[in-house]
Amino acid sequence: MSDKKSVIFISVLIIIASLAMSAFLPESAAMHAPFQMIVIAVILLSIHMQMKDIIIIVMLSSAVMWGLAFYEIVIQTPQLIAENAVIFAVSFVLGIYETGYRDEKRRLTVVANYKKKEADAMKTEIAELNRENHEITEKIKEYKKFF
Amino acid sequence: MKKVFENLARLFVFLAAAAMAASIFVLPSHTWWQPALFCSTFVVVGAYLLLGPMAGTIFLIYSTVLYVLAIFKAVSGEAQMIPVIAGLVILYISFFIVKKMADSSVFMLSSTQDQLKTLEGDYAAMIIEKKNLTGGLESNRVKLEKYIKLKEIYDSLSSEPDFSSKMRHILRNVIDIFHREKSISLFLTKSDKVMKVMADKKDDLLTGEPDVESLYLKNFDEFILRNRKSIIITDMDKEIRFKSEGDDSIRSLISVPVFVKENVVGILRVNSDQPGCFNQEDLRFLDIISSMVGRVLEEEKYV
Repeated sequence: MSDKKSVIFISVLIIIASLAMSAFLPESAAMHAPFQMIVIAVILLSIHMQMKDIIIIVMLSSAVMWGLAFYEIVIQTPQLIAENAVIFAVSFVLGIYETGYRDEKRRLTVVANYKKKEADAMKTEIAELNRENHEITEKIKEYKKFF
Repeated sequence: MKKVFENLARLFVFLAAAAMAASIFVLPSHTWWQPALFCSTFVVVGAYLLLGPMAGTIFLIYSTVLYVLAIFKAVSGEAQMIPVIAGLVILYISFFIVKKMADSSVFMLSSTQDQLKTLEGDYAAMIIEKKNLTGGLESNRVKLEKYIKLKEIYDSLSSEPDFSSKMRHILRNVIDIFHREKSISLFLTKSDKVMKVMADKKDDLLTGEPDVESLYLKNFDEFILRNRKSIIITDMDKEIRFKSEGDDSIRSLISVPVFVKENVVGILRVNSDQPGCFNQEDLRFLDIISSMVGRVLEEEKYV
């Protein structure tokens, strides 16, 4: 399994475990600690996925949590709002970082590609000059032999 | 727009950090402590990614202190212990994943920058190589042009009727190859008699003298006849080996012996009234002209 697939697989496992534990563990004992684990999955997913996709995953997970709240399995809904806000804020920060990183990487890659093309063109020019120089040198050698 | 969001996020990191600390002491219900402490994940992740690793680490220590306070409160029975410990574990796991991710990003960027620097270095080296090649190519083109002209001169010799006109034809045309205001002289010695053929861009002159002494041979010509070696003088005024002997019209010269088989039969000299007119390449070329003259002399059975 590739590194990317492993990370996504672990993240999905964390999300499922988090939601399952939120549903089955008593809220009075664990509070919302299982749900907070989702933030780890969010950070892991941000390594390989785009932030808009992660936001969708977070929204789906939150929807499950709010479903649990609707069925009164989770009671402390005001706290749930705050925790949701924190998870979204973390996603937002990761998104900003990812955008900055990708922009910088793209900029450097564009410059590097341009430099590579420039170097290739220069190599061709040098090869052409070498070829021409070789031809002239050969002609000079012929004349030298003659004289 | 992106900058505005970034700055807003940075501001929120500080606000959340302050609010988090306040909430531990101000909020009446312990049920709010856990969401308040959970803010530390945002604070640490945000500080690490937006303010730098140092800020991230400082906020991690700050959050840890708050968690320790919360643990004390949990020990005293004011809060649940398990959620507080779980929150602290989540915070540290998040921190280390973010650290790993940021380090990896920095490494990727720096390796691309290194690649860019290598490319720039290679390109700079190629510019120098191209410049050198262009210079060499230009010099070789000039050299080839000279050889082509020389070959033309040699080929056109057959149309000249006699020996003296052949010599004059060679010199008159050869001086054009040196493309500066210069004159060329060929001194031929035979049985103590000297024949001098002089040419410049406008005219040529053939003179014959009965003996070597009667012709004004310079001391550097005598040196060549005696030593059978070529010489190059870049500035006669600074020359210590030879004297100009009153002839101020020569400032620089190249001179080579003319051989027919093993015998030196004369010398070939190109003068200029300007210093530094000749280089080693000119000397080599004059050597080739001298071989050509030698060949003509041999064909004409001069010796």
